[in-house]
Amino acid sequence: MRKTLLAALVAIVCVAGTSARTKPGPAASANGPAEATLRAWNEAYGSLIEMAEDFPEDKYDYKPTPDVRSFAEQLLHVAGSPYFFIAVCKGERRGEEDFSREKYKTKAEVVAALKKAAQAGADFMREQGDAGLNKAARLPWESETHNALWVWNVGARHAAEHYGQLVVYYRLNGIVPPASRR
Amino acid sequence: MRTAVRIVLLVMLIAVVLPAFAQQPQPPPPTPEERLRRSWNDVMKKLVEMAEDFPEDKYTFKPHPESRSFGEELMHVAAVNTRIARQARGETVDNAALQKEFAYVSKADTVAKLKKSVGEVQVVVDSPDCLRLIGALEHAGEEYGKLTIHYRVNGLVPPRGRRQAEN
Repeated sequence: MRKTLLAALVAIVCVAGTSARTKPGPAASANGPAEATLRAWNEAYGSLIEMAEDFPEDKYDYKPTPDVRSFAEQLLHVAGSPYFFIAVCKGERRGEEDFSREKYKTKAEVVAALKKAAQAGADFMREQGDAGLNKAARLPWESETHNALWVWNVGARHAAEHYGQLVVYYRLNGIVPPASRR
Repeated sequence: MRTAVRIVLLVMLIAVVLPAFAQQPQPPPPTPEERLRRSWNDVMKKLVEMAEDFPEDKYTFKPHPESRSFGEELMHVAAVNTRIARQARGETVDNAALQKEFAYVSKADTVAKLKKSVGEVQVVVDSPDCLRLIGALEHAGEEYGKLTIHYRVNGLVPPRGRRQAEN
């Protein structure tokens, strides 16, 4: 009986050793791809926050045409997206967060929501690091599974595209965007 | 003793067989370079599609007198691509001459120059140090965003928006 138990123990130790060797290695350096994506993220969201703080509140509901989002709705859309990307990376179903204009009524509330969202995305990327962002993740509209890093790359470009849209909102209102004023 | 040998053999067998089932063949996640290339190609494809799609009589539309027109925005992207490609070839780029070369003339000229620039910069996109294009990629994304509003202000739906509406 004692020999049987000993044999089982030896076998379990062997199996444990095999499985430990298949685990991924430690996270990469602080200058890795996660850091580069974080920089792009911070730049895009930094530009959007600057616009959110700068644009006159009485023009926050301006829409170039009736079928597009208003200035405030664009910002709230971008404010909601980091929580969606975090859910995608965690493999969770996205909760129905309310980023409507009805909930965020004032300019101060929109700015605060955008800042909080930008921080949430940045914190997630920092916490995950290169190793964490290398985990498999799939955006719902894509057929292929990529990794979390790809998800945040898409997120940074999504924010940049909305920034480009808001540049035109500025111009249509006869206002020069902050980046062009510098 | 025989039982002990059997247990060892059984556990060893599980150790060998289980990981084979657990590790279904999965494509390796894309490298940062592959991600950048995919994003770059996606944005350039969307910009070329817009260039070909937008009505020529609206190419000179500007949301504001101080803004670039639709055609000028696309020529600006073409100029940036060309500058990157030429610098990568070791050529000196004169910005004033580049501006002149990429001044807006017509829709056909814009489409041709944009496509040519996309082709020329591809060498850099496919190179191992393509990550240096990350700033240019973000800039192209911003330009794409601007042009979607040029569409909307002209009462048009951008090509991607039309596809989404169809699906």
